[in-house]
Amino acid sequence: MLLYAYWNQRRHLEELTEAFNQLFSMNRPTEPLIAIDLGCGPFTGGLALAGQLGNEERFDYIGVDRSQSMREFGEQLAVVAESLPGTPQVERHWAADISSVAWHEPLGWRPVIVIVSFLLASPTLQVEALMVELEHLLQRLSRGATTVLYTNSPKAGPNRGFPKFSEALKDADFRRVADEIGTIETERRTLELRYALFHRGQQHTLRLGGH
Amino acid sequence: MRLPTWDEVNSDEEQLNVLETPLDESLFVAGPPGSGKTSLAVWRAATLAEWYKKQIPVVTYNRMLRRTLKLAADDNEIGIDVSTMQSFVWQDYQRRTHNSPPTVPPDPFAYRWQSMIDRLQGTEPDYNSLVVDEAQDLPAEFFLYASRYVAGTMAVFADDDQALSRQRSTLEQIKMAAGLPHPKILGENHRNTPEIARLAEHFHSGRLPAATIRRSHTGDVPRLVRSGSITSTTRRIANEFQNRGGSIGVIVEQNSTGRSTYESLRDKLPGSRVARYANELRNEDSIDVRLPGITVLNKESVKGQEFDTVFILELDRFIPCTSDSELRTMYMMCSRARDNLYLVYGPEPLSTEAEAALPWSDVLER
Repeated sequence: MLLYAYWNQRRHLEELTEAFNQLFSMNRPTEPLIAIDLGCGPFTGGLALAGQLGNEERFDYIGVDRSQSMREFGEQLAVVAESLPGTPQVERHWAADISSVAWHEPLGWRPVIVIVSFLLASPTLQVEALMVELEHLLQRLSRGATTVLYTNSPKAGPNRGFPKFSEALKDADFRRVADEIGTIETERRTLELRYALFHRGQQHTLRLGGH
Repeated sequence: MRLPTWDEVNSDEEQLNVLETPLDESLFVAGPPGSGKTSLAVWRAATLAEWYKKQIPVVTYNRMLRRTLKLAADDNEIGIDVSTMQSFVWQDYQRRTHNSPPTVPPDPFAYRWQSMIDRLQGTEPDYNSLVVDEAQDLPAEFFLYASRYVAGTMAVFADDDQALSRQRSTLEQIKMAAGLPHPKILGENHRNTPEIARLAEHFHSGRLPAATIRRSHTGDVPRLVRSGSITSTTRRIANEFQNRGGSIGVIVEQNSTGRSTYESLRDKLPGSRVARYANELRNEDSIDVRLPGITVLNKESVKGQEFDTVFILELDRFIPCTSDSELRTMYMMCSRARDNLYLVYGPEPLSTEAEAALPWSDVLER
């Protein structure tokens, strides 16, 4: 498991690092981010984000992964990362699934970034159920602007859930900002990937029940 | 491939500008403490009046709030016509029917809304628009009455997380009764320091999101203070005033405490502005709570007001909060303070339950 995590982690980490590098190349969020990493593995999205944000920022990291050993390994990596200079303060919240995420801050307006990296490659994943749970979680965390970052292998198979995923986001008022298959240059190599980004602005309208 | 940047991603972000709502449309705004509801209400009324070239009535919950709205309008050289809901409806009904509104005795203000609404059937609204502030503390029937017989459109400002009165309405009830669109939420707090907002949030029981605090940290964490007597409490308040100046609000639960606190402060600070407001004194027009000085008032009258420094006395009568209504009271009272906040109890120690209802010392200094 750890060996698997290590080899995969390396590629995913490079990829997400480059994605965040480009995302935050000009500007950064003005309020502390909440990052939700779905199928997080060992803190992969958290490491990539921490590396790009630098030590002046702080963010909350919600790592969701079914595997307990992966979450534990993630926490170990996070502790090591925390001791390195130039790393932001990261408040970590680990959960086995989206519905069991513990969140004690009041609902607010902080920007949220949802990392969906290689998650849809899993053939057993139920996209509709995932989206319902994700929306539920978002409603507990923030009415702030929400960005969904999707990366995957460029191959068709691992992306079979993408059309449904994309459609569900559209139904939830997300706008598709980017959707491409191409290559990105990381420090070590050229990586081929499927990259998509969705965004929903702050939710200022309070939809009341009834009429 | 080139991936999008944060600015490109957020380029569709719309700034919430409720004042850009077309003037012939109704507007419904929900906003937490310090989000500027009252200023927006004044501006909306002024803009509507200019557009229609007619006076637009503004209605609020109590006389102290009426005074606040008038002062806010005067500051901006805006002429608006503000009434409490009770007197507005009384006059409106009287003018139309030449009768006083029917009431349920012995309360002269407990209107029989249904019979009033029935009586006015077939009549048309007199005004182009109506602006309502602190709408959460008004009865839902008022919104039905107003939308049918007072004005074609309404601009309604509310926060049901701060509602106190028995006749209060939820956002759903207001929306349905007045036929309003879904409310827009104001998301920024420009009044409280982060330290004060954090304590207020501890008592927040509603559903509106916690506002983004726009002020910077000051390091002045709200303080819990035990006081042996009214005299020692007023000595502390007088010291605070002499050291920092500014406007100070002293909130009491019992009118008797209000009276003795006021008398003691008046003796200690001759020549300074020390005032006591109570509903039965009907002295709101002689008070400007924004000026340097001290104003003693109760929880009902402090709604919608703000001060540089706030002392909440008789804390033991406000906590532990055993209901949402008591939580809403604490939430509303704490968020009246801009810079400094003191919670005062004594001479008896707080009960274990009351102590447990308070946050840790990083939020409330002991």
